[in-house]
Amino acid sequence: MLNILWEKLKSLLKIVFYIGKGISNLPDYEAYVKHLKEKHPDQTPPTEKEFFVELLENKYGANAKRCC
Amino acid sequence: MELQRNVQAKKKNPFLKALLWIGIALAGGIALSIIALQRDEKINAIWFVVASLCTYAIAYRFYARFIATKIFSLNKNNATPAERYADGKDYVPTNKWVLYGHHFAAIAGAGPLVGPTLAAQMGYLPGTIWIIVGAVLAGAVQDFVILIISMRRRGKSIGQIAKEEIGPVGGMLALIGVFAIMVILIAVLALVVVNALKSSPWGTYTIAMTIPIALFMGVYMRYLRPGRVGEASIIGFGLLIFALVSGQWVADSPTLAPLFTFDGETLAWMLIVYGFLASVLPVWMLLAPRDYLSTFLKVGVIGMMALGILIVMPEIQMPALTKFIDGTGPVFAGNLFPFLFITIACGAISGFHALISSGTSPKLIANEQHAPMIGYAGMLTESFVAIMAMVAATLLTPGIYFAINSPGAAIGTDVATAATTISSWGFTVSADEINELAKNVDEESILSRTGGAPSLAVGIAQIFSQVIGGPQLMAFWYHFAILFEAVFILTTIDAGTRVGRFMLQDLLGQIYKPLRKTDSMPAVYFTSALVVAGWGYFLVVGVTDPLGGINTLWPLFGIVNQMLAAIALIVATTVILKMGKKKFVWVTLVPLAWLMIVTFYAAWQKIFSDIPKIGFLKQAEVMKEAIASGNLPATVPSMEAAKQLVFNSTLNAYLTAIFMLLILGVLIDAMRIWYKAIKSEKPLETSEEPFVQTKLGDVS
Repeated sequence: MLNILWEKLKSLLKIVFYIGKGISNLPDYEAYVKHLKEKHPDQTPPTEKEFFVELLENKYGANAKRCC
Repeated sequence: MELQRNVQAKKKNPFLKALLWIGIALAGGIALSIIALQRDEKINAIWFVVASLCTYAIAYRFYARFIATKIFSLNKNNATPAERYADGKDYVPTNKWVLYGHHFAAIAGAGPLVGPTLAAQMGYLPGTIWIIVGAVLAGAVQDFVILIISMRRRGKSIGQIAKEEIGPVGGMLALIGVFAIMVILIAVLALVVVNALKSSPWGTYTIAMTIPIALFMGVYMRYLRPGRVGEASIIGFGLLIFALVSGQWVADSPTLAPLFTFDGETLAWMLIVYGFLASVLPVWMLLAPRDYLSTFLKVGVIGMMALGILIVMPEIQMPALTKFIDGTGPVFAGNLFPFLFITIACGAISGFHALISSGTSPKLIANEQHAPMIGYAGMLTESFVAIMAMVAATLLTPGIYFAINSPGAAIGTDVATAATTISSWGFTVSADEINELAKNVDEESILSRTGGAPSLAVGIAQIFSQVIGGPQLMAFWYHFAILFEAVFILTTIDAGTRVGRFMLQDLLGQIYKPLRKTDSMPAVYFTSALVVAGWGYFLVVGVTDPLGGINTLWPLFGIVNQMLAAIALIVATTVILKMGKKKFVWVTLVPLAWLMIVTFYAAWQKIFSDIPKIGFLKQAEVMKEAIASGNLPATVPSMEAAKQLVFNSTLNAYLTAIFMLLILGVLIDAMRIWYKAIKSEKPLETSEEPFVQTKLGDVS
């Protein structure tokens, strides 16, 4: 019973995090790796940490526009 | 696929569908007429909700679709940049609901909360009508059309589009305009925060705590659990609530409270140092974590506000119109026309949105037919936020509203004088009422807390405490609302300073190359310092202004923001004409003409008006005379300060004039193209990318 509840909670959290990431405009690491494997199989994908760091620098670069 | 689904539904049952829309139109019409015509009895806030939502629904269903099909022929088969340039990072096809949330969070900030609060001094009616009509016919149209134009051009920015569709001169002027608005925007928002935190140990402590909390979240997301934004945000939110609760202990403690009690000038300097640090520090440390926190907080609190209004159904206390439509009001100076339309910028139309609509959103949109929901409905949602802010301002007793929002120069600096002055305007309020409210929200004083944030916080606290906690929790909810506004204003300050720094590096880099390097410490420090000095100057001036600062800075911000909207609409009009859609050009031309009239009339008055409260030049003149005669007004402490005021007013006058010339430059440059496009029989060539068949399946 608790197990089922826990599973349900986990999948719910997954959806919440997905929406949260989307609203903060954070792309998915796994989706990026998948994209690289399909389109550029010659490139080594970055680790999750590298991906995250590079992405932040990029996101708050010249285009981090935020309205009033 | 929503449009398509609607079409199918219509085929299935056209009669029911028509009936539904007639019903919505009727409900909206009734609600609007109740708002407009009710005079003697108090009106319930629920009518504002019904009127706005029904109008939005009709506009979205009919007007947005009209623009989508007749002008741009949105095509579900045309691949969007997210598909054409898919790279898994910047260009990612995104679920339309998620993107709608992202777009909304990026466009909505303190603007739609502050503007309506200030505009409430003229009564609830003019502001409410402008928020609804302006959004439907101008603001949402701008956001939507720019989104489509950018989406058809690889998600290019409005500056680049202006350059390609109008010419290098128009493009350059647009860029300078964007930079200028950034500087003034940051200054005025920082001033809102300063006024909210002035002599408020609870508020100051809570906001100060957000810095270590953000740092912790940054370390967590970078070293402890890379990329776990959700976890970090939950922990961060927990800590934030703790900071809020412990803020009361700090405020009640005789030893700790003085440590967090500052005057306006000190707070202004702290913000300036903070802005500089946020611009030069790596983003993962401070900026990114604060951004997540503020995004979630923003979406959450706005949802709570909507629910709260629906549950409590408060009655509006402010009359429909006050005598201050004649321009003599204490909150901001100037007549209803044009100044109401400048005061409420965000929420009705905001030029800044053109930057977002031509920024990340067009690169994430999965299908062309999602554009109405992102661009048009995104702005409608912001307009609704403005309506809620109007409700929160007008549910206060008018006397209390004016006590919070009028500067000391207008009502005096002690409670007794303020109560007498405000009562003499016809808004009865007693000194006891003012003192009791201050006690209830656990603040030293609520007098002359201009800037809109404290007033909104009192409104929110009144609604929330009726749902949860009763009067005992009033102080908690008040500081919760202050925290909510301050956190996302600080995010705008961080991110804005940083973006401003990048723009300046780009701009100055054209003159002196080494400044362009974003990894060169001297270049980064130098340009960051310049940007901070720019907005810091206006902030300090605002804090020390005897009229309360907001009085001067907010109209300046409104004018610049509306002028940026004019630039966006000029670009949009150019593209529509070049596409050969002459007969539909009124869609952007009418709002453009309105904005030009409003901003130019307002700017002209700000410069040349004979009334010192309005005209910058007259202000300078009056102050000069005072210096010459040696008789300074009681609110000006020294000769030095008086000379500074002369300089500030003169500078503001020149700035306003420069903005006017800037817009005229863009307009004239664009009219060259308009003439060509109107004379041409065929559509002119634009930079729109050719059709590419989408390979994505059903991506609704």
